[in-house]
Amino acid sequence: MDSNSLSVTPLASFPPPEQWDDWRELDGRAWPKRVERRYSLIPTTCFNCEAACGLMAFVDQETKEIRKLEGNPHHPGSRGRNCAKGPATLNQVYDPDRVLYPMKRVGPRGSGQFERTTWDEVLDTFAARVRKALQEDRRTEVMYHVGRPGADGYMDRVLQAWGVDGHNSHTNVCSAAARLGYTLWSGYDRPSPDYANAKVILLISAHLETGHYFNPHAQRILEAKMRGAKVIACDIRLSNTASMADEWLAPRPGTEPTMLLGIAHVILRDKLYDAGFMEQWVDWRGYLAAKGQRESDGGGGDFAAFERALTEEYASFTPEHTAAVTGLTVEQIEDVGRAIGGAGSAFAAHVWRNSASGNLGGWQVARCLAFLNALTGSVGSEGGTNPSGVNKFVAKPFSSPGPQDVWSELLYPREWPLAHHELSFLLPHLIKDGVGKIDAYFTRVYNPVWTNPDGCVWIDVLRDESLVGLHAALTPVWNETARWADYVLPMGVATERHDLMSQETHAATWIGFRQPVLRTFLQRQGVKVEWTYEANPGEVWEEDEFWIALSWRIDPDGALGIRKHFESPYRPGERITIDEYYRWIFENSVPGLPEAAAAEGLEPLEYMRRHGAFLVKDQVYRTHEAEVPTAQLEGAKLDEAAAVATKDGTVVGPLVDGKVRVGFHTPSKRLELHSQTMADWGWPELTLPAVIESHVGEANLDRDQNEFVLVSTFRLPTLIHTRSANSKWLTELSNTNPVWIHTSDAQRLGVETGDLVRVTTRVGYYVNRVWVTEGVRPGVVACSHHLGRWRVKGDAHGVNRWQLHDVEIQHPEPGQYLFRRTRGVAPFDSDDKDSDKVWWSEGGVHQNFTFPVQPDPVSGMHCWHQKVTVGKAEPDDRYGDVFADTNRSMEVYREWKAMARPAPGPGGLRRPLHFKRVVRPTEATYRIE
Amino acid sequence: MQYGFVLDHRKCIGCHACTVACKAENDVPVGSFRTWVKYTEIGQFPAVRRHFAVLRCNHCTNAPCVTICPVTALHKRDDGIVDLDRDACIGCKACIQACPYDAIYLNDDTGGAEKCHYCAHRVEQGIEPACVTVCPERAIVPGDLHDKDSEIAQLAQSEGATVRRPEQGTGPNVFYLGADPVSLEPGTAAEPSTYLWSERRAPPPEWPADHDVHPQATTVLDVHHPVLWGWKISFYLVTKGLAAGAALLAPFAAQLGLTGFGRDALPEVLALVFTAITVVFLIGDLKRPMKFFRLITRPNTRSWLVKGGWVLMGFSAVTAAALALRFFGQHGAADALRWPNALLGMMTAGYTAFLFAQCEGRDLWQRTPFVFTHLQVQAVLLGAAALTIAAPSLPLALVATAATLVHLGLVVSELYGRHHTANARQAASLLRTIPAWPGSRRRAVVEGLQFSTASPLLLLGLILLGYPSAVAAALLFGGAAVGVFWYEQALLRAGQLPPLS
Repeated sequence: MDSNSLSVTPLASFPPPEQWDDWRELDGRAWPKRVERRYSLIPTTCFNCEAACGLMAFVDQETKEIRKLEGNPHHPGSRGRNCAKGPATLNQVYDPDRVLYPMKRVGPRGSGQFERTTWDEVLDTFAARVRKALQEDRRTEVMYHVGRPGADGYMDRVLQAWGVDGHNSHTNVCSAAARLGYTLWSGYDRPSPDYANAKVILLISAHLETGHYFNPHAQRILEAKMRGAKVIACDIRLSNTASMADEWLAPRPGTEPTMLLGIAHVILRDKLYDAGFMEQWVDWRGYLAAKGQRESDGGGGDFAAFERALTEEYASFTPEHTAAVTGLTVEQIEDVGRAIGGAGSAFAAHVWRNSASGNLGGWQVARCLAFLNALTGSVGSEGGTNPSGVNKFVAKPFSSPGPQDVWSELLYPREWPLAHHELSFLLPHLIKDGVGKIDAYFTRVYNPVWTNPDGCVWIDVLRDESLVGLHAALTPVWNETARWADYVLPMGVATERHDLMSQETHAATWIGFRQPVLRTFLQRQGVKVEWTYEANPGEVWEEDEFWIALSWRIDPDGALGIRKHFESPYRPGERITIDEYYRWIFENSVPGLPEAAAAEGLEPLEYMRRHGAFLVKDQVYRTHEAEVPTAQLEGAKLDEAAAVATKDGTVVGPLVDGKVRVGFHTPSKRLELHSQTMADWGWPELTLPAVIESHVGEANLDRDQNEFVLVSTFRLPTLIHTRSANSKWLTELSNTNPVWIHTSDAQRLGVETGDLVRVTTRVGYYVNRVWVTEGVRPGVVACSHHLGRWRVKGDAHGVNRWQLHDVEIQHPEPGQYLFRRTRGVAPFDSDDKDSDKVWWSEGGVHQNFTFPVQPDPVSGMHCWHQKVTVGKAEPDDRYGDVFADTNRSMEVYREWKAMARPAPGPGGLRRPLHFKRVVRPTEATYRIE
Repeated sequence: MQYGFVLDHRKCIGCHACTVACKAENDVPVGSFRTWVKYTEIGQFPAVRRHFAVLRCNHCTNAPCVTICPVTALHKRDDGIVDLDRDACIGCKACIQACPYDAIYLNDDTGGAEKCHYCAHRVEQGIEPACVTVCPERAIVPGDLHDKDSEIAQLAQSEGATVRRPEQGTGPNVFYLGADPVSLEPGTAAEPSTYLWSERRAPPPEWPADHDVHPQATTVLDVHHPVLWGWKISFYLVTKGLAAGAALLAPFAAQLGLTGFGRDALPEVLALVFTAITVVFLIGDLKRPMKFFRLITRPNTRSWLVKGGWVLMGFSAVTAAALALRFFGQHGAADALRWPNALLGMMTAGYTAFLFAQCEGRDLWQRTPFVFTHLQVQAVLLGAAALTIAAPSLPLALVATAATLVHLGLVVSELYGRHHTANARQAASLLRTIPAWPGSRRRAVVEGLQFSTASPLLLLGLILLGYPSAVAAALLFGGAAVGVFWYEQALLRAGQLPPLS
């Protein structure tokens, strides 16, 4: 068609699905020449942030290359749309600096020298190592440490088949605090707000630019806003989200719980709460009983007594008091309180990282926020906030090995029995303390040396072969941690791997399928592909197949009981293929999927390969109201006074409107305002939503000494930790991380935008440029963590030359590290035509080295906010200098550890049995002998 | 039919998805953008917000880039899309001067200009542009603005819908909803030396202290737009002025004290030689110089680059004819030809004013009568200065002195006079700040005026004192040429520095 035959039909967003197999499209790169190209459109799932949005790979049938990535219109969460990181995946596939072959260390560990090896050699080496550990019953010495899982439960099965307690994660540098706060209320550790239908949305997060789950959530938040919903954002620096919000709340750091309880006060004072909901679903009896015990008046009373007591409980959080503490205005507290109270059950709220992850006691932010959901009856309601788990669907695989009967204190040390979850960021500290060691260590899309606090202690431990025996870094791209590994194993990006994911993006449940699109393309062409690395660039593999192949070699004859979990359910005795693994799940574990596939004349696996996603259930609301199946009520007693059904001393479900309901995953099966768990586990003063003085609270800062609160956790809309590296299109948009400082503070310090400042923490300092702005609270400095990627001078490998600078590492004293850059970012030669166009040169400063670990004594969360002093750079300081003293940082670690209250808890347990635990072991292991 | 966009900034979250999707779709080089997002922070804590503006080609109804493109590489399609045939492009960069929205860039790999083409290759197949498909918020609404029932037409007519820089009269077909005026009004926010999470590729313009900006607005993220017309253009403005000036003064050669070769042939020789040098630099400034012949084979007759080429050809032809007549002894005819050739000389010097008039992005250059007059004055100055070498006569020195004083007056009025648009005011204020050479603290316009003013006065003084020398004349020539060159450098650069987006 030429431009003269004008079409007036509306433009479509996507090629029609019936043409996906053979889509002809004019090539934008050749325009205005009309060059037609033929593509196979193959859906997959994004692997940059955690949202698991749908992508559509345009595979050029002639060149067998991926031409571009667009959205997948069949994806229920992302609905065909993406953020910048979706289409940027193309850069990651064809980045000139990616690792294409398995690499093996040559020379001493940490010498930075690697050579190419074979997958066969890798599998044999690690199979022998793991097999020996299992045979010698060293089942806490095999560890899989994951940064971004990108899958639901795949590894749980592998590790439990091996019988090890070895699943480590990144959770406690991310979301542990909020998880505890939510768990105490409902037993679910996350919220799943129904933004699209909300009347008021409170974001203690930046969901219009990042977070779980940025793009899907941002779509629905704006839908509500355009319909008239009020959006309130809380952040101590100006986020894009705060900019778009109707109300921006920027309280003093650490005072967010006070702010929330001030809001609760307004709702209680003005009786805006949903008494009907609370009477039925909040365990107010438990609250009254505990209050009675506390005040020795016997407790008890009816709901009206509870209402009076609760109003009294929070009577001191007047708007005036709240405003004085938080630095907000009385009007803001009143307005927001009345707005939220007025929204009733259509109040959607989320805390994601933000203050929960920044402050000592940050878990109370979630505890106090969920309080507002309980007050307004907006739990599980339309436009309210679902518990996360009800909007997530994890499909069962063909075989589920039983729980391991071993407990690793490197994962769940006894000091933090209520942690959510593994004390991952303390791993090197715990090893140094002699809690354990590792014989086979698999890091997987995980870069602790760079991402975690106190990275120098990580370097100390990772380079010591007596502490970490054999280390494989499984990663799509080179990273700073890989340098200290023995093997660097290239694993695929979004278009190069299988995974099954589900995320709580809205009031529904869905699954998204990630697939190696070139493999799928070749298979459709009739090419036989045994392993995915045959179809991927170089020999880039995928973990799913790697673990099957490795497990098969660990137990070749089945003597260890592992092999049977990796035998095909379709071909007895044969090794399972990845196709068979997912085929079984789609045929047997996903309700409605076989029928949907049949309707299109497809097998379920083929249906998922073509659609990439499946909506399991829509309109999921009020799941707590479901009735407990009669079978489970056999032998249960109804306690009308307590309004519960009980069996063997435990609550089966709340009695509501004459029926036993499933309720929530708490001991009382109701929402727990009072948490007896907290009292039982050593924290009787923290059973209620309350305020904990933050380590960076105003009282702990000496303003005369130029002490500031440093916010280091905020993400940019374009980057996601170290994973979105290797993208030229993202890096050209965001390539530095100056220290944001308020105009008034800059004037006091005598610095202007672009000047060098030294930011000093308790254990080190860094030198960076300053960005003077009105977009940060006075007294707060903010520095985003994404930038500052480095390579040790002389190393052949580095993360990518779009971002990296070279450093020299010096040790002024034993245990001290000084990183000084020898070369900045610069144009480079490569096959990429853009590599000579790099115009930026500084590339940011890696600040996390200067942070000591600060484990919250209750949640185990690393409390990210740092107390720092900021001053002009010293005469010898240079941009990018980073200094850290591990002697000091170990002292700070011990200081924080001393605040914890160790297990055992009631019954000699390591952890409450009703708390979630990742890759849960047998109940017997919970008891400390 | 007129395709256009509504950019709904009530919904845009500034995520840059459109930017990256466009790069993937169209293979846009690193450092260049067909669509980008500018961030502007306005206000004081806590009453401060970051405002986003998605900026791109406006597919104008009266697209100035189409008018100026000498080889019809830029053209308006029947569906209203302004498309660019990057293979036909000769890399003259005029479209980049003509676009008041900074929407066109030069691809350094190919030497061709490129811009948003509304993903015409997708639209022809019934698929939305890539930026529309990716947008998480459906904040980019495509469609036919002429179809009154379409969503886009209704949004574009809704209350508060605005366009960028309506004063340019381009008829933009990209409409904005909910964007802060400051973020759409270039140059009204403070420009820091770096951005909130990106380095800045070039330092901000050195605004003078009295530069009028919103007191609480700062541009905190933006992309770079290079200055593309530089010293080669300034240089050929000098050589062209000189050639034209020689022809302008030729009818008066005798009265100016010229004799012999200087009277008979020097004006034509100067005109021919310097026109040739002009053409060499004109072609040398093309990014695809070997394709210059397209100016003749596929001319856009509306473009003053093409018309200027015709003027240069006519001027050269008549000048050569005059020389030939002189060679064959036809002095009367040769002298007679000098009068029409003086008119051609005026056009040679002055056509740049009409070309500048087509540079819709450079308001300072667009004062056509002023620029035309100024170019004549410069031509007279340069012509007189060049002829002085043959005869350092009092009349020539007086002509040069008169010209340079008028030049001085014109520059002063440019610096301190009233300018009618914000862009022209910004450029005029920057005119003072342009360094004489990169990194210098000396100012080009000051140095230029000193040279161009001092040298004729010096020569005049020497002549009046009775020391007319060839050395002094050469000094005058050099001083005048350098002075005009510096002024042109300042004018060109200052015109291109104020942000358009």
